[in-house]
Amino acid sequence: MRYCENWEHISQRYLAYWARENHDRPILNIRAPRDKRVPLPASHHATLEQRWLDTQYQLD
Amino acid sequence: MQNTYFAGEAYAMYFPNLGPDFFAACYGAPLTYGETTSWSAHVWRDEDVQNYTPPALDTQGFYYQKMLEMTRAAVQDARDKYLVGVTDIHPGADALVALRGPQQLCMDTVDYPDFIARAAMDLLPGFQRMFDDLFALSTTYQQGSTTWMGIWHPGRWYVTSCDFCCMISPAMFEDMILEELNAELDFLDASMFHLDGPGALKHLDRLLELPKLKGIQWVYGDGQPTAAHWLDVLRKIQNAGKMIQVNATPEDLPVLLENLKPEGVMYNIYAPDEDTARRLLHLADAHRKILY
Repeated sequence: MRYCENWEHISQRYLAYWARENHDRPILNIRAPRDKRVPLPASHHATLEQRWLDTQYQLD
Repeated sequence: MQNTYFAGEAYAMYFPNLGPDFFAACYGAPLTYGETTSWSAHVWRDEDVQNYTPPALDTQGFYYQKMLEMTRAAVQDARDKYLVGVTDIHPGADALVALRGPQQLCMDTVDYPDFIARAAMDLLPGFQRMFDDLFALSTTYQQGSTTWMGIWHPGRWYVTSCDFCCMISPAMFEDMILEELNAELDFLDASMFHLDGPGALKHLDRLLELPKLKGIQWVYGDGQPTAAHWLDVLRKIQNAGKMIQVNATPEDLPVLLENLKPEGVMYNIYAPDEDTARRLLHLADAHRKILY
């Protein structure tokens, strides 16, 4: 996966988690803002409802 | 997603989302949208309870079709880039809260106690249909499933929850909630129960007795002490042979590593920057148990 270079290893870790066999260390879901960030598209929707229901905007 | 640094077992995922009352919306409760969440109109009146007939999931209605559209679009966009999760679904008593209103459903526990257990069970086929449809779509290209909880499973896993349980006694939990909860667990390959807030802790012992429940996500809540201050709760879950997921601060991690076994334990940590994320991972690796 483009945003997850070591997915094969990570998926194995989740299999161990579900089996409670991750004996070395806990599963760590650590997230942080990137040092270099790209600007996200601004919302130009007239209402919050339009924004929530704009499928492409939600994906972007 | 491209602005997030993922460390440890964190992975990129997106779940289409119309808010926690989306499931109720598919039973006729229109949504109002806020900045970060949405909520439903409480459309079931007293007369609807007194003259109760089982409701039907509106699979051809706007909300259901919109979620199918959002999930299809996400699946195409995500291919080989990130995982797509099944949307946030709240069946059972939480759906009844959305349809009746929290205050009214509390009154129903006294006025119409049989209604709650029966209606929760009547909503179950709708949950099963919705989950099956969204699971099938989300696994078009990816193997396994994920949800807002950020856990991947190779099969059909989903969150179980009952935020309404804070409002009722253990006896009511037994009579009104457990039949439907066990039916959800029977339907799924695996589940973690989202235990939300100190008011829900009175039901923890009973939840830990459920053989098909894999684990507990403990949510101590805003304004409460953080994960390292809940070791008694976390140890109780672990000693019952269940998995744990809990949000932790960077400062919690050393305490948690020292006091809980790693097996079946997952910590969600939001670090302020990439360096801190890397440092936390190194800390856990340095604490790594030597395997022989």
